[in-house]
Amino acid sequence: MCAVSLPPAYTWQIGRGGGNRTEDFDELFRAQFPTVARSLGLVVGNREEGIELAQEAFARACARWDRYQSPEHVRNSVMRIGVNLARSEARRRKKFSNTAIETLPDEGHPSEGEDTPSRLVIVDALRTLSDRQRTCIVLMDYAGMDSREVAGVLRIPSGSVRTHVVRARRRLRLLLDEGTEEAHL
Amino acid sequence: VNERDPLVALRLRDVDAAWKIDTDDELRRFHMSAEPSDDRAPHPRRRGIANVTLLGLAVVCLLVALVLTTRGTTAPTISEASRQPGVQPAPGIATGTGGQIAANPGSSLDAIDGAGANDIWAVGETHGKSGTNHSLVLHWDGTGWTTTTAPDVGGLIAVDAISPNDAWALGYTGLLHWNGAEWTTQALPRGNYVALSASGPGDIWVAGTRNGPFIGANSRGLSSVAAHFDGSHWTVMRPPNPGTRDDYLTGIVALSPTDVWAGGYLVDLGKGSAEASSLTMHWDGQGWSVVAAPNPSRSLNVIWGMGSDGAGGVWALGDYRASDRHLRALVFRWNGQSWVVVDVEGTSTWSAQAVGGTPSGPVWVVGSPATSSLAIANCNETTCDTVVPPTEFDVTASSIFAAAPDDAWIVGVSRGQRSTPLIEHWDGSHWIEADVPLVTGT
Repeated sequence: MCAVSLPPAYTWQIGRGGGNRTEDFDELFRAQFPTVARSLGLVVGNREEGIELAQEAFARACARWDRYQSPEHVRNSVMRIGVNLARSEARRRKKFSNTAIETLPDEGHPSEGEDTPSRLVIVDALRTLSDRQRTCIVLMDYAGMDSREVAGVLRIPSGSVRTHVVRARRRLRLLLDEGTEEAHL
Repeated sequence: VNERDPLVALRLRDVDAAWKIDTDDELRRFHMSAEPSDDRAPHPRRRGIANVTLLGLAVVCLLVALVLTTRGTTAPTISEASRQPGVQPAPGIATGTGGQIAANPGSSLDAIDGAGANDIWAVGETHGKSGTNHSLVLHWDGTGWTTTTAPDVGGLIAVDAISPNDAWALGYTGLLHWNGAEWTTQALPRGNYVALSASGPGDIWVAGTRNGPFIGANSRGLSSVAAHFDGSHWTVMRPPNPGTRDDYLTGIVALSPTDVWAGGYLVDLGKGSAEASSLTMHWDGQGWSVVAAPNPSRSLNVIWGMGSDGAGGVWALGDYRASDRHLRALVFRWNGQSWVVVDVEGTSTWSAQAVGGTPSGPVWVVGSPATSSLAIANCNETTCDTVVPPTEFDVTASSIFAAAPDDAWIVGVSRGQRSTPLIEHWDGSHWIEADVPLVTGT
């Protein structure tokens, strides 16, 4: 139903053949976009890229709109599309999930000074993880998905998700402690 | 495990404050790109509409005028192309599809190179439904662009045409070789290679990054990697890693077996260090050595591509963050002794990606800003004039090949609701959008 010819304020009907729930698309987008965009941004290490990936993912989700059963279904699907896009886009644009490529001036971003490096400690820490670990930890500990949902997004067994998450948390805790020490030096 | 880790979750929440997102603005962008638009114009998938200056608006108007004019110019070619078997004009251009998704949805072009004016390869990718990418190869035979069958090694990101019977294309998951009759897959050493260049049949180079430290200062991040193919064997090189955290190679250009340049950027450990500093290195036939490159910005300097201007000159292309925090094109030229910063005229914010030229013709630098717009600059040894400035449109230039002063090609992508391949041609006086054969998405 998310077709190009629909007016902007159309309502969105979940489920095939006019299921029994309707949701306002705009509300659903407003509710999900920031989390999806920031999650993807964390996966690729770049806010702007995350926003573009989320836009593209929502656009692609439109093509299969009538298949969705619930808002969670939409979110998981959009996340899956976005994660897959991120994986390929990162290489296509020669970007290695590096904060170095977060280059756009950012309104609302704290102004840069000698002592306030613009990169986020957590983004740096995430970069040291494998792609899988990073994606798993972001989807679980940031986006709030459970391991079964993450497994669906990545199409891997949920046991593997748990393993990735345990290792990622262990490593992040080490790094974040280290980062705190560094900051006090 | 299904409970959130409190410390990690807390730190992840830092992005909520640091990465502001204007949801209403994003929703407007979404609807804007989803709304039916004029078939002739790229989808105006805009960002930061409030930031558009009067100059920016003027530029947009000029580009719209240019696009409309050039479409008219190319119209006869479109109908001609449609008569060729296997080649169809982009439906959005020739017939219009009622404002539906544009032609060639979900595909893009990333690199171009030619063995001659009538033997040019443009490579890229088509997007699968779940975000997987597949190889896309187009060929120019002097009369039109056609799709060419090739094994799938994921999206293609670099191409080098040595002769009509010898061309190489680098993909996400492998390497392709053209022997004059067909594309076949070739072995490639391990590593994330993103750049390819060849000075001849027995001198093929790839460069990129791999996990883990190799040597030098780099102790815990990603390392630069380069590999050389002599026609029968690969040799994996271990270039210097001056960055204490990460060293990235993103571009390579081979002029001869004893004269190869690679470029990228490095990241140092430490709170006060720059986010990225430019990195260039040279192969003299014996070994790699780091060559000091300028850093116009204190905080961020990135080289995205290395190239030759067609007259033996070596250029490094990328971007840096200016004092106003905007992104500016970074263009260096090697003068034989050191890198010289080439001034880029205008205040537009964009990122240089590729260089091309001929001994007697103009030197072109093309690129895109972070807002994904096409930019074309005409350069001499000291200055680049932006001839097609970046606009609000989502049109990206990735690569350029110049066959003659009045014959050059740019490839890239138009990003509307879904991305579509872009090819622009220079006829000596204008840049004109060329017909792209219909690429069947997967």
